[in-house]
Amino acid sequence: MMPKLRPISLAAMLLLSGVTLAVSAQEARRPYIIQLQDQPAATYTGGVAGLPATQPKPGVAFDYNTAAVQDYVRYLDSKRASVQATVANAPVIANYDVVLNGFAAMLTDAEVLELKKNAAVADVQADVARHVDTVSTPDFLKLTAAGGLYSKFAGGALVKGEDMVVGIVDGGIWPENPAFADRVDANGKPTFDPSATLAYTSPPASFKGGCTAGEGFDPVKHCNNKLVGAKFFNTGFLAANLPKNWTEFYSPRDSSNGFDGYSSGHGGHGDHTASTAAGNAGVPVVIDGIPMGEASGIAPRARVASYKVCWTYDDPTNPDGSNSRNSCFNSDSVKAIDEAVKDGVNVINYSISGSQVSSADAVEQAFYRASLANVFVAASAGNSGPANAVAHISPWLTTVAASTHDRSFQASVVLGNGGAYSGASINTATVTAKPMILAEHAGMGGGDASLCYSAGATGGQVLLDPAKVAGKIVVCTRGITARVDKSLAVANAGGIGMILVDNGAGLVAEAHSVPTVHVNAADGAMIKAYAPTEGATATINKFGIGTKPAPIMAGFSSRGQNRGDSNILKPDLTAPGVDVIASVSPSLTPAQRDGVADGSFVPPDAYASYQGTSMSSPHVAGLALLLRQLHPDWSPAAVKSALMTTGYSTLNDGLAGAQNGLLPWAQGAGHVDPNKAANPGLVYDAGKADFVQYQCKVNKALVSPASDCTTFGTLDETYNLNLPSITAGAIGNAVTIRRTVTNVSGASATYNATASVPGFTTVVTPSSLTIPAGGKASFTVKLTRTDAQTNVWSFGSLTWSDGSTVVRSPIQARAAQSITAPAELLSDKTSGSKLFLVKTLFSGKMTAFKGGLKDVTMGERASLTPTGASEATLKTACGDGSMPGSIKSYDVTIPAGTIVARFALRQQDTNGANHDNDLAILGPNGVWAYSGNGGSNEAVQLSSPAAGNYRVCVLAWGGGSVMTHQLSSWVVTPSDVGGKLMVAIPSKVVANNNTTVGMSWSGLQAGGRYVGGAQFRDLGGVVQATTVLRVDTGAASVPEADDGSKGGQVKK
Amino acid sequence: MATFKQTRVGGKLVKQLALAAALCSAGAAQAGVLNFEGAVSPFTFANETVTDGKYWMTTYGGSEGDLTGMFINGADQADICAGAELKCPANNSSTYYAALADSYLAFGLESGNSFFFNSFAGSFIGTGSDVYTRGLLLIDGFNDSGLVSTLQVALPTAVGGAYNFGNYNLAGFFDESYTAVRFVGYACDAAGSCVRNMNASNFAIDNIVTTQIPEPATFGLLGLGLLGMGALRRRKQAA
Repeated sequence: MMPKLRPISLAAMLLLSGVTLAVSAQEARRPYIIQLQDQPAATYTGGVAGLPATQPKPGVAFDYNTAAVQDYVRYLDSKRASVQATVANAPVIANYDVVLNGFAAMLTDAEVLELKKNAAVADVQADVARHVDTVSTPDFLKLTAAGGLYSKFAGGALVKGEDMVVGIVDGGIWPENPAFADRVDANGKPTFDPSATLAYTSPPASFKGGCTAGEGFDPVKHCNNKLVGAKFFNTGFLAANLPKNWTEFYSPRDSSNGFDGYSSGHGGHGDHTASTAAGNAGVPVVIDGIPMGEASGIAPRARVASYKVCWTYDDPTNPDGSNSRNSCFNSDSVKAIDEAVKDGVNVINYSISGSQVSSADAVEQAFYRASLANVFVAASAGNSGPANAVAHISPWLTTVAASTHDRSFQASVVLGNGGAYSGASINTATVTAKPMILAEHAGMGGGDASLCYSAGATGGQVLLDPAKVAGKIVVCTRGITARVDKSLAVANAGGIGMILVDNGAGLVAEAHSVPTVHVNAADGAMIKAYAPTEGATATINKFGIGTKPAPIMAGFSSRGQNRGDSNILKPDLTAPGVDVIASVSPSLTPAQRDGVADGSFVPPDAYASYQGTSMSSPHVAGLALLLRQLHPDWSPAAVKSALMTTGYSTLNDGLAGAQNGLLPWAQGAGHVDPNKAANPGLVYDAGKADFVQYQCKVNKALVSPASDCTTFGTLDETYNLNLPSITAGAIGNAVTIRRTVTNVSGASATYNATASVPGFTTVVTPSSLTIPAGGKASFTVKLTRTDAQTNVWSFGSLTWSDGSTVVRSPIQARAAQSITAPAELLSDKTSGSKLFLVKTLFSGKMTAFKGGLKDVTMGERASLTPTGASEATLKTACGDGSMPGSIKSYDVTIPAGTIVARFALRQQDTNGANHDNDLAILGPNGVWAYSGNGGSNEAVQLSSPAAGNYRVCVLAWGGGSVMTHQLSSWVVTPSDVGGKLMVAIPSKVVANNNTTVGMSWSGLQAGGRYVGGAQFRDLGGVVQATTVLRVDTGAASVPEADDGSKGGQVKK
Repeated sequence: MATFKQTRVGGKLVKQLALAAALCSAGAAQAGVLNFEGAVSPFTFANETVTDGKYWMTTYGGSEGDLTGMFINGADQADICAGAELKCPANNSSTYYAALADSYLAFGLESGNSFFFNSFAGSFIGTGSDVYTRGLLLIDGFNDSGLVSTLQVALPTAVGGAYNFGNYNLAGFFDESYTAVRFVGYACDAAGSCVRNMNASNFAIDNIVTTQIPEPATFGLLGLGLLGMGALRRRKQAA
């Protein structure tokens, strides 16, 4: 095995070199994003004496160079400088002024606390590393059909994205790909030949961006009238002090792929997303020597501006065996979004992971301001499906799930017993009647090697035995490691073919190291049953292109519900994200890579088939470019509405329960249908007033100026935000939901409503709307509970129809318990109080049990070796005690009457700043809570759990060869008395009304992490709601990173 | 600033009357202000009396142990008032008193003296009702003859969804001398129909300004703390 630089030896080297390590935890600097009180330039509406408003008018791109913007930016600069002066020792990573007013800096805990006290500071967030989520879809989307959008004219050009610019915030660009050429040859195909005909004039006047030079990137050579912008942002990455991988370029250029004998790269993602959204049409695609036809972006005439924020660094612990990892820091993304809006892009694509619980995340807030500056934002829902883990939950952006399209690459496997099975493949070499072996029987030393780990595996897994595998076709099982890593393992062991048996995540056709067919689990079971037979053989045939029923939701596409706001639907919609072929960066040798860096080698173009919500998001970004060309006056919310209300349902994916692909949790409002979206009839528009009101409701501290909450008001309930979907997560007896539609059909029209939701009566008032062209009309939807069970979601819909145009909104409704109270209250005060509202469905005397406040109990330090296991694998192993080397289990007895049980991990309680540990709790009756963020800031919390024996499991997912952690625990019962916790309830509650309830505490120690809570009880004394109070005092209140979803294109 | 001491009448806590304060304030017509600064224990409960040494305040609504109100330090309000539906007054960064969930209160001077009631500040507190969006205060003045004055005051309506304190100068409206004044809140709909049985009546008061009327007879009580307490207790039962 290749020797690896382990963190332990790195520490030893530092000691030997005399570096002072006597730095206490208090003085350690970590990156933070600091948001200041004044509005950033993109949303400044006036108010500072002598400085006029700088927010653009609807339909107008933001112009950074106007005198007003420049004056206001100077004002922000001086205010920012005075805040920075209060933490003068802190290295500043970046300053922001367009979509976020503030800066990023390396801060000590003391400086964080200092800034939190500063009245000019609105918010301090820990910076986090995100990850990228990873031809023929224009046909599948019917854009090329007769009468399709490509045949329409707008603004003097066909609707193919003319004079639109898409900003791709991603891993950079490979400029040699003809997808980004601005000339065409005699046949009209894209080319870089300088003597060929120029196909694009200079960029649209509203675009003010450009290109930045760097390693292997010369703006004069590499930018043109198609690739109009290319910039890179790596200050946050550099501040993290991670070792640059050899495949990386500090420039706008995407990192390369390739293998230097030790590590391989992660390039290609930025090119793939850019060319999917707006790559040229007519680009001939060759993968692995196989011509695959011509590729085209969704908006092939739009220009591309690339903003590189994702960087590859050495990481011998990555469970995918690449010995490297690719991360995108929030601080760099915020700067890139700031720059993209400043440059005047029309649409941003963000195929990068994000927070699953908060729209207060710095990137989400940057997108909030981008949307107010008329920039449409498409973001990936995440690849953690089919678990409930949808990311990018903010209502101002469009969150895209991933589903299949109808092109299929298939090859067959024929067994010696005559059994024939078809699977996904792009295999080009027939392997005829060769012996076969189950990987379960092919491990070194007689072990089970079913997952076919390559030599790069980190955890001491059983590898394939060349003595058993040589000359055979190996049957491997999908899971944990990259699919292509398994065929590499087979090839390295001397195998000649692979049959890959699926684990339910869905079939993928891609290039492998040996001839490979990827079969579904059912067919795989038949093959596995036959393979051990004496003399068993198999034939793997060449692939062919066919069609298949589509769309079907991808298993990996993260499902809702929205974990941050149960009154907002996420994801919003779905688009193709499986087997998407587009441009990537090529595999280069180290010498070729260096030749690219110094300009002596002109690299080739390359293409690949990728899967992921990363791939579906740029489809929607491309569609937004088309719709914005067609309707320049539409807001980002109107574009989103048009795409959602005209969508159609996917086909059944067969998954059970809340993960089923037909539910809005999987497909949102449905699959995009762009030709219909061009004329949606009505749109649910939303602008500044709507989103300010929403922010005042959920992120009040971030609203600047604070007076906006007075000017625009506060949304009463988030289900009243004017979205094209309707979601109400806590309905008492009834709820009345408001919406306003705008007639964009160009003619007066009368629409009639139909609506239904099982378990509720549904009344739309008025049920008929006559709206003049361009006019608005408001209506309400009243849902009254009939036989809906509490705490169970029901799914229905509302449609408005004028007889030809149908405007459909999905409705998600859930009846509430008889008491609704805040789930959790937070404070950082050693003595403090809370006043909050509790709603009851009954009148009379409400009572409560209380417990806490209780400080944390820290567990013993435990040591594990990593395995990158999924949630499902962890759940199984947590139950049966398997994988003890990688999973530490803690048995916990929860007594009757427990108010709250909370378990947490903190990055600072592990032995590595980049270690990724996951946390889960398994309890009686199928209770399961999972926290699988990137990084190690994890928490699972059960309010009023049933009594019984529970098991908390910590999984060392990856990041170090030896990974230690200390578990933080709280089990709070009424016998826990601390901090003089008091729960104060008035003499009565009134049915269907709110009642004020108070909590207070005093005398806590600084630096503690306290948990307590109250159980609110109905007239019969039954606990109906629990409010958890968490108080982190002093240094413990320094914010942790919200690492959000794990990312990566779906390789496993 | 005086610190509020909380006292449960007939109850578990030892009442701590600051007699010195009463002594100092006696003898001449003297303005005073009840502004709740320095309150240490945030909640008030039914039939409980609190005092800053100069004023007493008793709150009502339910029986012993039921929440009636809260002292809220406006400077920490972002941490205290949780959730967007709960709309505490936006324009007060000092400590004020919030009467919650249809509760009411009465106040007077610890000295037992009569006083003129000059002015106060008041605000409605929004609790998410889409019907009851504004507030009304009914102010009753009592002296030895019983109820002698009554006045209705409409609290400021919401501006952009936020409630604010308004200042009320009572000169010309409420000119008797009183031994106790009672505040009762109502929640009202847009048409002016008001209720106080839906838990929607929540209001805030602050900066109660009074002028004390000297009563030489009070000096006679100064050495008799126990007698003073007895008087106080009777007054509360009467109010």
